[in-house]
Amino acid sequence: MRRLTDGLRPTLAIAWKELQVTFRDRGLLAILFLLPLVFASLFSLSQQAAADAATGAVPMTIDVFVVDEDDGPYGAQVSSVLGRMSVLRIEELATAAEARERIGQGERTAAVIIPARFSDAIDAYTPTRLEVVVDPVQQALGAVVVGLANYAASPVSTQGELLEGTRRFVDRSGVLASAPPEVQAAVEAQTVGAIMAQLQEMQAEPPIRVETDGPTSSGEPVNLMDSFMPAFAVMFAFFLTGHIGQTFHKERDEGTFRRLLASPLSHASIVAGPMVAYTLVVVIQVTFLFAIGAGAFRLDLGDSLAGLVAVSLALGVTVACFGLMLGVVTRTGRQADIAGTLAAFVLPFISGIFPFGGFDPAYLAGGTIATIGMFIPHMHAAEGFRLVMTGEGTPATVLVQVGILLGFAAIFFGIASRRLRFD
Amino acid sequence: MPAILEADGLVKKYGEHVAVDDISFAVEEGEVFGLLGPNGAGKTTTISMLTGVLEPTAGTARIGGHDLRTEPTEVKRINGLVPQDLALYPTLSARANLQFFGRIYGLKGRDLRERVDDVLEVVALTERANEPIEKYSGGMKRRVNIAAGLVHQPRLLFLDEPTVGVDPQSRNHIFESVMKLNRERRMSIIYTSHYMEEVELLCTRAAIVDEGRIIALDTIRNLIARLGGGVIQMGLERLDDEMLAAMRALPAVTAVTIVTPQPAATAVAAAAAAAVTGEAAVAGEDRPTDAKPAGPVVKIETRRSQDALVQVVGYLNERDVGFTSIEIFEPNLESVFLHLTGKKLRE
Repeated sequence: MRRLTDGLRPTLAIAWKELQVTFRDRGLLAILFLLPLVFASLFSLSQQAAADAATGAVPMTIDVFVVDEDDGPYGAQVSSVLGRMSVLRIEELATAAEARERIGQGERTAAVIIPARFSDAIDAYTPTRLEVVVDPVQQALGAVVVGLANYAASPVSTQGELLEGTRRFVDRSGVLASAPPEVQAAVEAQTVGAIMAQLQEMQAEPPIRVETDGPTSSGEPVNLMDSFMPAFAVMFAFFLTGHIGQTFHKERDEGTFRRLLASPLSHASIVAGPMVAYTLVVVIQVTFLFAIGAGAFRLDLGDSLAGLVAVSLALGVTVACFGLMLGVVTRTGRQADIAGTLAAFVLPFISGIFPFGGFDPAYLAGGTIATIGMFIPHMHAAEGFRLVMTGEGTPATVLVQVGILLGFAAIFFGIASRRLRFD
Repeated sequence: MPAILEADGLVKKYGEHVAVDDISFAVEEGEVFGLLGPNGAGKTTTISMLTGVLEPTAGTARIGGHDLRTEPTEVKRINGLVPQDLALYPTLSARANLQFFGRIYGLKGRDLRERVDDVLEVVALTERANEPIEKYSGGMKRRVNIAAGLVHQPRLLFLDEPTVGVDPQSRNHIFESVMKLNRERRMSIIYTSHYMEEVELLCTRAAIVDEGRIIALDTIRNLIARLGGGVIQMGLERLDDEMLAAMRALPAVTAVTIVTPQPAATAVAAAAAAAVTGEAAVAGEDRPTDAKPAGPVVKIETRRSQDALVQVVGYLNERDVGFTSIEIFEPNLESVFLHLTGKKLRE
């Protein structure tokens, strides 16, 4: 183990140096991190209205504070139901006073306040209430929140009524008069539990279902960020290749390569160090873009973190090897930079990773563009991300894309290593 | 004194071109050894082979007891290289650069920190160690370039033209650093330069390299002594065998040879060019002001140039023979190189 870490240390030293150099290049950082964000936002926002019109869906959210001052289970239940409503964007606050103050400042549409001893009141069947504080200038949306709060509270209210009804029935019928108090409590709980279970089942499968439908589609809201962000992430990851090729030439031209060759580093470490660094840069880039996408634009990342990591790593390795190949096959740093930039601009479009004329990547429509895309790594990276994010892919189908990407990486590395000279 | 380096028949060919042709020499432990030669002579190629950057076409070397071909990793741990180029990462600070170059030699943790602090002190850059190198002056960059070759405490340091493009102040600082490293740390140093003054100042022995071959190798004192007391090159109005014999017989003259007669205009122009560039050490010469047609040119090797000049000019006055040009080459490595190759070091 010690030998392994000692062997890896020089590679990691080169990787760390490469990361330091890369992250001091502000121009490159802007290209890698800001440009894809700007492009993805602009493209998806500009086409989102058309997408919504086509699907008939107008996704809307209402920003709401929730304050749960209750210690018992019913307050938590109401809060949980509100949190699951997709139309609401919830922020939990600790006190009602803070919620009122911030509503007064116009920070949110409304605040739902669950009072202290809410659960006790339900259990005792004594009157209690949820308070909804509404921003006076957003009365219409406030009314929606009131309705939703009522909806969230109704199962709790029903449960209280059932509990009280069961208790009165038992008292009046006298069937359990001679039973000890713990038996009476158990019968009450079982009865209420059975009825609530039945009620929930009926709510899940209502006898009457109301459906909405748009003029052309299913009514599912389409978030174009789901298509654009992965495409731009893949596209701008390849912008790194020009930089990698240029760095390769710089090392030779400025003499640092001589220093590396004069050191005890193996040739493998000299090549592997930058590969590790640039793979990491791509992973950081993709993580950054997807995190911003998910946080600010509701980009759906799917359920498989492992899948995202696998595709990102494979993309990173491919980009690093492509960059190395550019560095080796070109004569100057300038040539490498131009070739990398051209490839980064052209390949995404001919591989059909952008959703032109629709909501899905163009390669999914099949035809020539899909055939061309098969031979371009961009398509496989984009498809890998799509399979993970939409949940359409199985681990096996995602791994196929990862494998193809690594195959491309091996080809690029093979070409580079055949022409790579160390003197 | 044991040898830290023994080069044995090193050859480097690029196709038909022979860059280094059968070079052999040894450097003793603790010695500052010079490789002196004009640009393109093969100095950097020789160093590149000895540091493992280039693979020799033929020959090998033993460094610190290890064979360059069979034990390259051990050899590389002994060597330190300061390349002619500024081989640094300009956007990183001096400290970050040195840390990186230390890490690739396996240094880590406290040891690495101490070594970096130490070499920053050696090159007097502790105060500005955390600034990006791109903000440094040329001389400061050169000093970091040297520090990067020292950080792993090599036993044998290769300094390849370390003062190219350096201001006089930084140049002096580099000289002091080299002398200090050799004196206080017993570091063996191979110093290449085409500035003979640097090699004379710093080195105990030197090899003179030209066209890929070593043409002389000795102590600086012995190399200079080969030339005796200096050389006078003199253009005369006329010359006959009697004059030649008489000049050879003068007490301060050791030899007189006829340089191939030149057209008068060329000889005058060469003399004028030497006066303008000041490359040759010219002392006490009486340069003619009129561009008269020149006769033959003779090279007079002397025991002491000033004495020989007085005697030769006195003799020519007696014979009423005028001279059209005089160049005096005081004994130094430049004149040794000229003597050996017929070329100037910076041609």
